[in-house]
Amino acid sequence: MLHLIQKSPFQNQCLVECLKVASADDVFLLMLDGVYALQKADFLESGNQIFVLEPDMKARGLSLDENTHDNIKAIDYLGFVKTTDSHHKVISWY
Amino acid sequence: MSKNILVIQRCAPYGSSLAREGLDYVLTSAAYDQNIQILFLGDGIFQLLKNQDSSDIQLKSHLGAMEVLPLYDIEDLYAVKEDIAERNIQESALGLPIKLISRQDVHSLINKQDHVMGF
Repeated sequence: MLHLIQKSPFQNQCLVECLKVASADDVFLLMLDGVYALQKADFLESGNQIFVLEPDMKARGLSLDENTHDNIKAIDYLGFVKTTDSHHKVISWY
Repeated sequence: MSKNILVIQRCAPYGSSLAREGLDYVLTSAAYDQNIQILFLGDGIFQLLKNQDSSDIQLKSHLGAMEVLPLYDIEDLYAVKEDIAERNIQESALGLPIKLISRQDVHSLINKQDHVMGF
């Protein structure tokens, strides 16, 4: 299952709501203001596979340099399409 | 007549147009000789992060637009140190000089003003 996180977790409950129902093998894709979830250490350490849409991350001045977790990977728009295509269930959280 | 106006920027850039509209309000008011101070509250602090490169999402850099603030004599930029700590942001990662205040000082900062505008 793929979760598209689209809002900042500091100003919106959508990541919290999502984590209540997500399981350990679910995949997260951070996009739009959802990329600010990169600033949430406890979320990054959950161990789930996390993708970040690179254009949205770069625009906001964030990067993966300081986040050395190997479960986190930046993807471009083509990777976004491939990731959504490879999951049977995709849920948008906003 | 010149008034003291506090603009509260509470939104992150790019996700909505509110950050940009707040900045437009600031620059317009400053052009009419109003005394503007800006408080970056909550996610508003994300507007100040360095290294914003928004070329791939076809939007203008928000920090780049804010770099004109000193030219308008707007130098009182405030942020709350608890907000910065919660978001795991180092002060060195901010692209403009900021006056850090504590959360309990926000109320008195607002009280000092003639007007407050929130975005």
